[in-house]
Amino acid sequence: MRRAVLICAAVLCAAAALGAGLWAGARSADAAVPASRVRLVLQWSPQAQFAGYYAALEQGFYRERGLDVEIIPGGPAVDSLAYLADGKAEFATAFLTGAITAAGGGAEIVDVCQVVNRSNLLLSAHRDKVKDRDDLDRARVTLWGSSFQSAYIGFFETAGVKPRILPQYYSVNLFLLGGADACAAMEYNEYETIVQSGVDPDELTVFSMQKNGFGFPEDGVYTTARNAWRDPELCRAFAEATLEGWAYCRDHPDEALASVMGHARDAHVPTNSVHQRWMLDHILTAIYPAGTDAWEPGVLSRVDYERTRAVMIGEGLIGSAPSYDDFVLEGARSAP
Amino acid sequence: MLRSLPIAWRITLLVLLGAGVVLGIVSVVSYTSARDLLEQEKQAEFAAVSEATAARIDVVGRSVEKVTEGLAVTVDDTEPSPARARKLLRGTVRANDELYAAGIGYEPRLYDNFAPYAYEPGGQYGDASAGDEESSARIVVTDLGRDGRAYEVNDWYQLSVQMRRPVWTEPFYQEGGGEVVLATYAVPVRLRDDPVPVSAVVAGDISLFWMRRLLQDIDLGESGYAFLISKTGTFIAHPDPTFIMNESVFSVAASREDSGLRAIGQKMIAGESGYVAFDGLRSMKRDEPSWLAYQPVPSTGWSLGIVVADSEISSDVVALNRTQWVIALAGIAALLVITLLIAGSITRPIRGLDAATHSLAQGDLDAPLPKAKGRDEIARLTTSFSQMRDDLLQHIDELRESTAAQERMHSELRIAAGIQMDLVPRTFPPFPERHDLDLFATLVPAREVGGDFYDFVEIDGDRLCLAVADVSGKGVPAALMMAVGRSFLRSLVREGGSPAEVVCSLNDELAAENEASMFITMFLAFVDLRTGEVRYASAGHNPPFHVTAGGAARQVPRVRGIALGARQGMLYDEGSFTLAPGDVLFLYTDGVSEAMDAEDKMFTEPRIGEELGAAVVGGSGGADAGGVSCEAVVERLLAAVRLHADGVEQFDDVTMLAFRYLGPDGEDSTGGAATG
Repeated sequence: MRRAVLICAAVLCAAAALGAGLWAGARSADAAVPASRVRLVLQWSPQAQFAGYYAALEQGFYRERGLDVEIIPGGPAVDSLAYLADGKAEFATAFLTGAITAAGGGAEIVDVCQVVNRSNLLLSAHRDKVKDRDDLDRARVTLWGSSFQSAYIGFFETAGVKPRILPQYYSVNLFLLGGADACAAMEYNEYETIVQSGVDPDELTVFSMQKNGFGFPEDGVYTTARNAWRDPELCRAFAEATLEGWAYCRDHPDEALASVMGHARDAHVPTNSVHQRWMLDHILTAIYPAGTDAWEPGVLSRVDYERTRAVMIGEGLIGSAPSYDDFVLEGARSAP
Repeated sequence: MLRSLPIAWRITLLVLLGAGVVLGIVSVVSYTSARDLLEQEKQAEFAAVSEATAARIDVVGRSVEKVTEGLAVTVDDTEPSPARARKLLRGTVRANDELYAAGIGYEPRLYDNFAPYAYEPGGQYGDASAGDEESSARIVVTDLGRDGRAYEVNDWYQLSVQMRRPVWTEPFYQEGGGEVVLATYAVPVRLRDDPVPVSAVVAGDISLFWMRRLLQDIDLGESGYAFLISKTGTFIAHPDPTFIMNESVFSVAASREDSGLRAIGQKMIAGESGYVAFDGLRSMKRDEPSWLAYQPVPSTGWSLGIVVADSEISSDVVALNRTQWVIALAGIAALLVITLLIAGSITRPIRGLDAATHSLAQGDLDAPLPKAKGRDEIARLTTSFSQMRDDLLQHIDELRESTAAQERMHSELRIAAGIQMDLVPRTFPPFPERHDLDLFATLVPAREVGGDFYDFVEIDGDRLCLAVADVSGKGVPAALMMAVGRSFLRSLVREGGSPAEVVCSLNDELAAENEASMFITMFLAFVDLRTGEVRYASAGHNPPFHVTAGGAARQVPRVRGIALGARQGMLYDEGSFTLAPGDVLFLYTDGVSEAMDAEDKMFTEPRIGEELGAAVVGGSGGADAGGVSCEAVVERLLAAVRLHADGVEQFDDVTMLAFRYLGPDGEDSTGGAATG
C-alpha cells in the first residue's frame, strides 16, 4: 500500500516535473522574459518544518520552473500573512487555522498548496499534575494565540473541562519552570524540546489533538487572491516545485538536515541536529500519508476545510470565512 | 610439557612463576590503592575547584539579583516618569559592572507599549543599530516597545508575570543577533493604583560572555575543561562554541544514545552536586573516559561541570606503576640468571650421574662416576650409586668366577663319567660262547659321578669273578679311585687267590697310597660254573640277593669286612653258597636301596627282594619263570627304582648286576633264552 502510494507520488512528481519543464520552456520562449522573481516568507525561524522549501530552492526545482525564489526567514517579529497583505512577499507559509482567521478578517488569500495535512498539535502536561483529561479542569494551561487555539478549545469543550488559559509565546519555559501545568506543543518541535530539557516522556501526559478528533491540516502555502488570479500557472509551478522539494527531503533526509542546520546557523537560531532530525522525521509523516491516511500531499480536501471552518465559526473565533472554492486555488482542491 | 624440560629450567620457571604471581599481586594492590588515593585527592580537588567557581558565578548572580530587586523597589516607590525611568536605568547600569543591561517592561497599556532598556554595548558586543537611543558615554538607552514591538511576549516578561515572583530566564541571544548571550533576572512589580496583578517587570541582564572567560581561565590541566548548563540543560559555556545555546546535555545524550549522560544531566539541572565517571562531553560523540564534578549555581539554577580525562588522573599512577614494573622486570631478569645458576649448580652432579648411568646402562661399567661433594642428598645418592656400581662389578666378577668353576666342574664330571663308563664292560652278552650263564649289568651315573663300578672276568675256564663296588666321594677323584681300584682288582684276580685274599690284598694296596682317604665298598664273588658254588667276600658292601629259580629272594649271609682303603692289614672273611641252575645272583650298590622318592623315602633292600622275586619268575609269577633274562630283571628293577624316584634327581649312581647260573652244561631247562 505504502509502496504503491510512493510509486504514485513518484510518477506524479515525474509527470509534474516534465509538465513544468515544458511549461517553463514555453514560457521563456513565448515571453522571452527573465525568470519570475518571487519571495516566500516563512511563518517561523529556520527549522526542519521548512526543509522542503529550502530543498526546492537549493535543488533548483523553483528555477527549473522559471521561478527565482527568495526565502524570507520568519520569526517572532514576522507575521507571514501580513507580508502578503503588505506586498512584501508573493507567497507565505501559514497554519490553516491562522489563514482561515485572516481570511475571516477580510484578507484575500488563497491556499496554493496544502503541505501538512495531519495535525501535530499536542497538549503536554506534567504527569504529577495531570493524569487524564479531567485533571485539566482549572489547570494552568498555556496556549498560543487565537489562530492556534481552535483545536484545543474544541478538545476542552468535548472533554467538559475549563482550564485557566495563559498566553504561550516562543518558549515552553513557563511550563518547564512549573509555572504552568500543561502547554501547547507541536509534536515535531516543543514536545521534543521538553524532552531535551531533561523531562522524561514518562513524566508527561500527552494529548494529541489529531487522536482526539481535532486534527486540522496545518502548514500551507498562500498567496493573495490577486496574485492567483493574475498568474495561476506561476502559483501551480510554485506548488509543484515545493512538493518536489519535500519529496527530495523525504528521499535525502541527511542532506535536508544539513541544509536546515546551515540556515539555522545563518539566522543565529539556537538549535541542534538531534532536534532538527526529530522535527524532519515527524513533519514528513505529517506530509506523506501512510497506513489509513487518506490525504494527498499538496491538496486541501474540501471535507477538512469545511470541518475546520465549521469548528472555528462554532467556537466564535471567526464570524465567517470564504467558501472552499474561493479559499483553495484550483490544483490544490480535492476532487468534488 | 614442563616435565620434558631439564630440572634446572623447571626450577627456574617455577621460581619465576611464583615470583611473578607475588609481584603481580603486589603491583595490582599497590596500583589500585595508589589510584584510589589519587582519585580521592583529585575528586577533592575538583570539588574544591567546582565549588569555588560555582560560588564565583553565584556571587555575580546574587549581586544582579540584589541590584535588580533594589531597582524594582525604587520603581515601585517612585513610579518614575518615562524620562526619569530612562535616567534611573542608565545610572543603575553604569554603577554596576556585573550588570550588562537593565530594563523596565511596563504593562503595555500603562504607557502605550513602553519598555525602557539601558545597556552597555562594550565594544564588539554592542548593538549600535538600535534606534531611538540616547547615548551617554558607553551606555545606550532604548525602548524595547518602540514601533509597536511586542516585548511582553518574551520570557523575561511572561515568566515573572505568570509566576508572580522574581525569576531567572533561560539564556537567550541578545535581540538583533550577535554573539552576546544574556540571562535576565526579572522582578514583577505591582504599582500602587494599578488594577492588574503585575503592572511592570524590572529586569537585570547578565552577559554570559565573561562567564566563558572565567571558565577558560581555570587551570584544569591538559585535558580538563569546564562547562555551564542552564536549567534546561542547554550549554551556556563550553569549549566548543557551537555547543553554546545549541546543544543541551540531553541532545548530546540522545545523539549518543547514552541514557547515563541523560541521567547525569537530570541530576545537574535538579541542583545536585556530584562526581561521576562518564564518556566526556567535548563533542557529540563519546570521547575518552573522563570524570565529571558538577556543582549547582543556586541563584540562577545553572549547573557547572568540570571534566578531566581519566587518563590524566591515571597518568601519575601509570608513571608510578611503570617504574614499579621496570624494577620488577629487572628483578625478574636478575632472578632468572641467579636461579639458573643455582639450579644449574644443584643439578650438575645429577646431570653427571645421569651421563654416567647412561654409560652404565650401555654396559660400560668402568665409566667414571662424578665425585660426591658435600653431604647432601645428591652426594649420598652419588656415593650409593658408586657403591652399587662397585658391588655390581664385584658380583659380576664373582659370577664370572663361579661360572668358570662350574664350567670346570662340568667338564670334570664329564671326564669322570667318561672314565667311569669306559671302565665298566658294556658289551652284553659278555661271553657269547658260554651257555652256562646269563649276565647283565647296568650303571646309571648320577649327575655328580658317584664312583660306582661293576666288573666280571673269567678267572679260568671254570670260574667267573663278579664284582660290584662303590667308591666314596664324587667326581674325578672318585672316578680315578675307581680306576685304580678296578686295575688292582683285575690284576689281583689274575694272580689267584680266594675272594677274601683278593679283597685283603686290594685293601692293602689301596690303603698304602690313600692320601685322599677315599674308600671303596665292594662285593666280590667267584662262581664255580661247574658246581654253582659261589665264594665271596664283602668290603662293607650291601649283601646281594640270591634268588632261586622259583622266585624266593634272600640276601646272602653277611661276612666281616670293612670298606677298602681305610687301613692296611685288615682281615676279610669269606662266605659261600651254591647256586642251583636257574638261580640268580643280584649285586647292587646303595644307589638302588637308597634311591629317594619325593618324600625322601628310600627304596629299601626288602623292596629289592620283592621286586627281584617277581622279576625272576617273570613278573606275573607264571610257570615259565626260568625264561626271564638277566637284562629283563635289571630293566625291571631299574624301572621300579625310576618309578619310585618319580623324577627326583638321584645323588648316587645306580648300579646293578644280575647273574644267572644255568648249570654246568647249559642244558638246564631254563637255558633256552640265555642270550635273549
